[in-house]
Amino acid sequence: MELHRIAVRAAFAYVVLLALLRASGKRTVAQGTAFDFVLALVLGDMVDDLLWAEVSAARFTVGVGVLTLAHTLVSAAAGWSERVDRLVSGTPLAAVAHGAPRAAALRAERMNRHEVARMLRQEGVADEDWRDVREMCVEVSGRASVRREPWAETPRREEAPRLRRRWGR
Amino acid sequence: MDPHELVMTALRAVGVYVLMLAVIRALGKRTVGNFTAFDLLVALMLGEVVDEIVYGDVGMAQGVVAIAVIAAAQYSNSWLSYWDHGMDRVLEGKPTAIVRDGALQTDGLRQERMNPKDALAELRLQGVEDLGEVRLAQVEVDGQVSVIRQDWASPVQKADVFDEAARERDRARAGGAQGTAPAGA
Repeated sequence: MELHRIAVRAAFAYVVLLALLRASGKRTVAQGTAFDFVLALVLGDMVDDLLWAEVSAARFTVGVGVLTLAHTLVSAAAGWSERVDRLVSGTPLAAVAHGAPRAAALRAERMNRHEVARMLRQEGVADEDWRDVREMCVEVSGRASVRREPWAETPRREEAPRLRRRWGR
Repeated sequence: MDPHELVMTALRAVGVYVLMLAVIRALGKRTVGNFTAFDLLVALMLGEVVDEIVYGDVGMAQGVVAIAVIAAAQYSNSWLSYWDHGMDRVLEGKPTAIVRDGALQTDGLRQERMNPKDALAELRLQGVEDLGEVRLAQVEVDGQVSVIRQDWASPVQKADVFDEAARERDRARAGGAQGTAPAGA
């Protein structure tokens, strides 16, 4: 048994991954896109081969280093160039406009109305209240963002004077 | 510490990076880890395959085949779910109501193996203070809980307080037949 070696390798893997993530910037694997997520899984999976000494520390470091470096470079390129960004992250999908699902756009992403209904419910929009929705987008992270029709918005603080006048205060 | 092997590891890592990027972009928004509980599992599967490729435990060709088949299965699955012929109910499940009109639904909770404490915790996370505020809370197919509030517990809308906004709302409601989810959604 070489328990102390496993302990050393675990600590080594921890430090290497921590250093890589700190060096590459917090948004590199945490932008919330599907690819970031899978990449984080891959980096995690690469540790176990090191722990059981199936690969050397050098190969582990090269492997996770190159993956992180590639992702950092691609993220940086996406920051400079809109085209690269579209290529790697995709574009937001306008799924609902003025209460109506946009069938062609949804089909392109293989999302049906049930999925749209679910995403809206998760944003607090009931199935019978779609007409409140001016626009619903599925963002590149896969999460929905909802903008309501002007009349369905919550009044904002800037409108408080109008409201006070209205009620005579 | 064979330098040739280190270079090969680096090259394989680059190759795998490009391959994963292509696969995930090809799968689109309805992709791994974003929609249902099973999507999460697919992401884990892909991740497990990939690290073996980087280390050269499996050849590039073998890895590509495995990833391509998993991706193709996931892609077909998404089309089957899209064609609304009941397959989405089989492949993805359907939402389970856990609260209706302020009352916990025991059968729904049992079906999701949640106890009332779990349900209340989920509702608190969504800002619900009292069960009475909830018209309908469901466990959705991605495992998240959605909460629809009673009318009286919903945030006020401009149409409720401004006359011109109310007129706009009435015009919008009179205007189109749209505005409701399809039956059974």
